[in-house]
Amino acid sequence: MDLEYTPEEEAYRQEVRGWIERNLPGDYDPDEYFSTPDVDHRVKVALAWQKKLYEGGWAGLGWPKEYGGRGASVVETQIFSEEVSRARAPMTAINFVGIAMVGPTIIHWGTEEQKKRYLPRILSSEDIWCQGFSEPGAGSDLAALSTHAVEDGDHFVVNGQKTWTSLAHYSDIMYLLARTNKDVPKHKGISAFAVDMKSPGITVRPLVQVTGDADFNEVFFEDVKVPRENLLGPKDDGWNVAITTLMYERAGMGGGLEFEHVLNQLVSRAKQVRHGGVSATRDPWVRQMLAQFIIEWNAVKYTDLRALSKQMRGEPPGWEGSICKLGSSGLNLRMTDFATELLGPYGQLTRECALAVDRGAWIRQALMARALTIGGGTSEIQRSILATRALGLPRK
Amino acid sequence: MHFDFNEEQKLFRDATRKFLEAECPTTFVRRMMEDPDGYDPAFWRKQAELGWVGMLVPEAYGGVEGTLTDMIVVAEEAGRCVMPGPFYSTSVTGVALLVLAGSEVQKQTLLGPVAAGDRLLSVGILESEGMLSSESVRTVAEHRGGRYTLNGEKLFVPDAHVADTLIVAARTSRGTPPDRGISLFLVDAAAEGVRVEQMPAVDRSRRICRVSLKNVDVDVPGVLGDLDRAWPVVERAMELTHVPCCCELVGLADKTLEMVVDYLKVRVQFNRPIGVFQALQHRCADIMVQNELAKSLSYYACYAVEKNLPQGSVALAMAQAYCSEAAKHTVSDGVQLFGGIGFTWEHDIHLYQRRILSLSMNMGTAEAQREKVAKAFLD
Repeated sequence: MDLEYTPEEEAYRQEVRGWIERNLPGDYDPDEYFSTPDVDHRVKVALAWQKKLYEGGWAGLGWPKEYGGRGASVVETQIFSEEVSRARAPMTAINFVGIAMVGPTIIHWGTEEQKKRYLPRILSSEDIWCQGFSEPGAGSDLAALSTHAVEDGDHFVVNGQKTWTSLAHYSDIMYLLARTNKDVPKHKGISAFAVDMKSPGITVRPLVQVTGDADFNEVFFEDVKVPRENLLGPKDDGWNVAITTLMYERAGMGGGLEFEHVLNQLVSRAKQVRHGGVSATRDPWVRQMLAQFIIEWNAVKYTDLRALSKQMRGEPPGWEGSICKLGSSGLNLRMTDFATELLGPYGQLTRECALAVDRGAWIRQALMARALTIGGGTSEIQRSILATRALGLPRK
Repeated sequence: MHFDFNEEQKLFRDATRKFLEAECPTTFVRRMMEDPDGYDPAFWRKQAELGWVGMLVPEAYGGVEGTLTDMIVVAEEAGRCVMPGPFYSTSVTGVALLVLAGSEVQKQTLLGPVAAGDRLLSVGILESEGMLSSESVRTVAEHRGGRYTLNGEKLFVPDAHVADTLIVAARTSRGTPPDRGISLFLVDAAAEGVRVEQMPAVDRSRRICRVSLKNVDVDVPGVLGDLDRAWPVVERAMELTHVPCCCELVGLADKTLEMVVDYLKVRVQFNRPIGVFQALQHRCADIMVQNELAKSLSYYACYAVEKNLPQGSVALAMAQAYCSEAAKHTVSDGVQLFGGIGFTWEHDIHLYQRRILSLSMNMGTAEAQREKVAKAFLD
C-alpha cells in the first residue's frame, strides 16, 4: 500500500494549482457561486471558466489527444479534480454532460464525421449538451421510455416528453434516447440521437425546484425532425450506447470531493455557534456528530481512492461507484440536516434575511440534499444494484 | 499511488485463506470454546511455521520481518474463520513491545523462541477502570536493593493463562505529566506471587484473564525499555495491535454477510427464495456499504500507523469507531436475517457475534474513538 504521489505527479499538481490560481477571476466568490439561486449568474460564471479551461488546454482532460483532449492519466485526472475542488473553482457542471458523458460516448460509438462535427465544439463549450433520458413514465425504469422516433426518409420524427432535464434551457444539443422499435423487448428498441435544441417542435419548460430555483426542465417534442446522421451508434442499440455513457458519468464524478467543503464549512460554523455562552463544539453531542461525519467522509474518500487504484491498473471497476454514491449522498443529507439543527431557529432563515447565517446556505443545502439521493440513480436503485449484481441475490 | 495489497500479498492472502479453511473450520473453533485453555499447541506451531507468529520479528532474531500490511492480511482472514488462540497477545502486542523497547539481550533471548512458537507472551495494561490510560495504571513496582517488587491487579489480560512471559505495565514513580512514571516489566508467569484466573466472557474462543501480582520479585534485567518512560511505547504497541483488530472485524463482518447472502439464496418462503425480497436485499446492500467503508478506513489506518505518519493515531481512531460499529450492525442484522435459526447455539453466526462484541469492547468504545477525532479536528 502506497498513497504517495510520485515527484512527477506532485509537479503536475503544482502546475495545475498554479494555473488555477492565475486564472480564477479576481472577483470570483465561491460562497456566492455555490449558494446563489440565480441560475443565470451561475451559468455565466461557469461558462466563462469553461472557456478559460479550454484556452489553457485543460478542457477534455481525460480525452485522447487526437480528439483535442489532454490524454491525462487516471491519476492526473484525479489530481486535477482535487485541485479544482481545493480552489472551489466553478464546477464543470455547465458542460458536464458534454465533456464527461457525450464526448467519451461519441469517441466510442460515433462516426468520423460525428467526431469532427461535435467534439471540438464540446471542448470549446460552443455547444452545451443536455441529457434527455428520464421521462414522466421512465425514471428508475429508464428502458420503459416512450418518446419515439419514427424513420421517415433521411430523418427521424420525434414525439414525446423528457423530464428532469438539467440545464436544457441553456443547452444547444440534447443527447436523446428514444424508442425506434416497439416490437422487440424494451431494452432492444431504443436509439440514441443528437438533437439540435433549436429544432422546430421542441418546447422547453423550466421546472421550479423545492429550493425555488430552476435548474431542470420538461422538454416536449412535437414532430421534431432529426436528420439520420444525428443517430449516435447503431439504430436500436441505444441502450448499450447509454450504458457506455453512464459508465463515464460515474468515472467523471470524482468521488464527490465537494462534500469535503460542506464538512469543513460545517466544522468552522460549529466552532462559531454559541450554545449557552460557549462554542457548540464543547457540547459532547455536537462533538460526536461532527466526528462521525468526519469519519464517514474519510471512509468515502478512501473508498474512492481504492477504486482509483484499480482503475489505474486497468482492473475492472468494482462496486465503489454505488458504494460512494450511497455513502456520500446519505452523509450529505445528515450533515446538512444537522447544520440546520445546530443553528436553532436561525436554521430556517433564507438568504433574503439579513440575519441569515452563511447567507441561508444551510437550509438551502438541506433542501437540496435530496437531489443527490434521487438523481443519477436513486439510493434504492443503487441498493438493488449492489444486492443483485455485487451480492448475487436473485431478482425473482 | 496504489491503495491496495500488492500481488505478493494477494497470493499470501489466498494461501492464508486456504490454510485456515482447512485447519480452522468452525468445528475447531467450537472445540476450542469447550477446551479449558482454548489453545491448541499443534495449531499454534503451524502458525509459527507459516511465519505468522514471527511476522513482526526482525530476521536477525529469527523472524520474518514482514510489514503491518502483511499482518492485516492474516488478521482479516483470521476474522473470517473466528481464529482462536493467543495470536494478538503474542505475535502483535508482545512482539511489538519487545522490538520497540527490548534490550539486545532481551530480544536475543525472547524473540527467537517466540517466533518459533515455543514461547507465548501476554501483555497486561488495563486495570479496574478498564481504560487504556496511564492514569489508570495503579500497579506499583517498588525499587529496593537493586530489584523491583510488583503489587497490583491487571484485568482483561489476553491469553495470560497460557503465556510463559507476561509483560506488565506498572508505576515506578509519580509522574508529571501522568504518562511519565510508567515502566514495563518482564514477569515470568510461573513466578511466585503471580496468580492468573480466566475471566469468563462472551467470546470463549479467545480468553481474557485477571492477573494478580502480590510481592512479585523482578530483577533489573526484567525491566523492558526505559524506566518511567514506557507509556509512549505502550501506546504505539496498542496502535500496532488495534490496526489488525480493525481488519479482523472487517473479516468477521465480510464473512457474516457472505453467510447471510448464501442463506437468503436458498431459504424458501412464499414459494420463492427470500433473497428476492427488496426489504432483505436492501438491508444486505447497506451492510455491504458499511463493510466496504470500514475496509477503506482500516487499510488507511494500517498505512498511516505503519508509516508512523502524524495522522496515524486519528486515522486509527476513525477505523476503530467505524469498524466496530459496522461489524456490530452487520452481525446483529445477520442474526435477524437468519431468523430463528440464527438465534440457536447450533448455528455458527453467534461465534461471529461473540468475537465482534469482544473485539469492539477490547479496543475501547466507538464513542471514545470519536472523541479522539473530535479533539483532533475541533479543538
